[in-house]
Amino acid sequence: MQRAILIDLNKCIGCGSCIVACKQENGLALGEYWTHIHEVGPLGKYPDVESLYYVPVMCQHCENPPCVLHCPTGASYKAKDGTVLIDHDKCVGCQYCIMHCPYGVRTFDPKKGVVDKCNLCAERVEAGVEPACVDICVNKARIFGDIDDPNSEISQAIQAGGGEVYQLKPSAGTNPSVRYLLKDWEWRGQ
Amino acid sequence: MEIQWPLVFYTVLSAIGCGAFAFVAISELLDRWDVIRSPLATTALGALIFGGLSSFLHLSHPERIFKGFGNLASGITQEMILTILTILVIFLYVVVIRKKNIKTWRLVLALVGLVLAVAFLFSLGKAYMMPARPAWNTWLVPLISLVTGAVMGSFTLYLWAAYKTPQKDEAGQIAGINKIAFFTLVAQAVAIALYFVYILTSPAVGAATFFNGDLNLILWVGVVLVGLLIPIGLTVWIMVSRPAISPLTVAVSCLICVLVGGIAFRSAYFLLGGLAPLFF
Repeated sequence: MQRAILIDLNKCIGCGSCIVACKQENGLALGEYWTHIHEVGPLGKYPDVESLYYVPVMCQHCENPPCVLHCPTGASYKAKDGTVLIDHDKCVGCQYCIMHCPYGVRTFDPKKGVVDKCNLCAERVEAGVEPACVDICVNKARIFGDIDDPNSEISQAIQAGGGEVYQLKPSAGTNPSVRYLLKDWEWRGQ
Repeated sequence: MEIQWPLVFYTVLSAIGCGAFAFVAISELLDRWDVIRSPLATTALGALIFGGLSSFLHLSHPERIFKGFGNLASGITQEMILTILTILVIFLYVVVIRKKNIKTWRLVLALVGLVLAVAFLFSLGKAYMMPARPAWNTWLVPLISLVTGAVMGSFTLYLWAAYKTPQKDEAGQIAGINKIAFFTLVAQAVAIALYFVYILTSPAVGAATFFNGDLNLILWVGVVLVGLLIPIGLTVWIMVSRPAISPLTVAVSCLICVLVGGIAFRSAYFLLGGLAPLFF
């Protein structure tokens, strides 16, 4: 099992509601974010300038997460459902995982002295509800599910997307589970 | 990335400790500098202990270390194991040299300590090589860690030799150490120059980052001028002119300079360590 999110970038309008929902759901402090929205573009050269698109980036819940590989205490771990989680009782606050994460999506909570990040709303999912960012998305740009289940909605959408479904920074060898669907635009993820 | 001060001091103090003990081991192998072995080894021990304590200041929950730290694949675990082992071996050496002073024991402990010191210095650089941070992801980083250890060690040796040697350096001991210190500085200058070239030519880092305002002061004044050019100038001046200046003054001045240079380099290293871009 590998829980994941597919984000349809042609639907994402960069409104930031996923950021707000994430902050509310997880009680994040001022200045702390588990989701970032990157603007890609504008593309092309004047006068043939195309518009830009938005790429929400959060923990990619990688198959081979460098944060888990390099955590000295085993506080960062991969759960049975494929999500990458942090056991706060084991976290010493060394921030080595933050240094290793190629996506820059881990944050340090100075009050608790531990590292935190998106956990795919583990408690909500446990209760049978979708993650807050998926639930709130005004344009229904996100699909949540198990990418190892070929019959799941997310797997079907990935299959239908074919060569227009991308991973962020595949060169890092992490095999991220978060996927991006982008049609008619040049994918500019490294 | 922000400067991680506890880690800056951890690496600099560890470089002093490992470098100083490496010269203790060399003195055992060459059967030279016997008067300064004990204070040099004690300095190495003190530097490593304070360095280790400094690294603990970086942790928010050091008490949780005892819950885990079992992941041997982690660079931090490797550093921690090597810190403890190196301290332990140098502690035993200091005990032996002060209490029993049996040559075979001294030699064995010195050699084991030398291997550990080199491995520890290497791990201090290797632990920060990571694809996510292009400015750190080069083998030049562990190389610089090794040569920095050699520089710090040679000037700690210089300091003790200058302090313990009579006014007239009849055996030419100080002159020899001055030459060794000069060559370690040249090696460090070459390694740092190569690192600068790596940064400037790396598409993921580039000149814009390198010539950033804050970094200019740290790199050109801290690393290059104070950390390299002044001590190189002083050691060359001693070699060429043999001025009537106290060797202790030279040793203290140079040690302060290389310490400033070491702190400056590690600070710049953190400032350079931004994430590789996600989009082109």
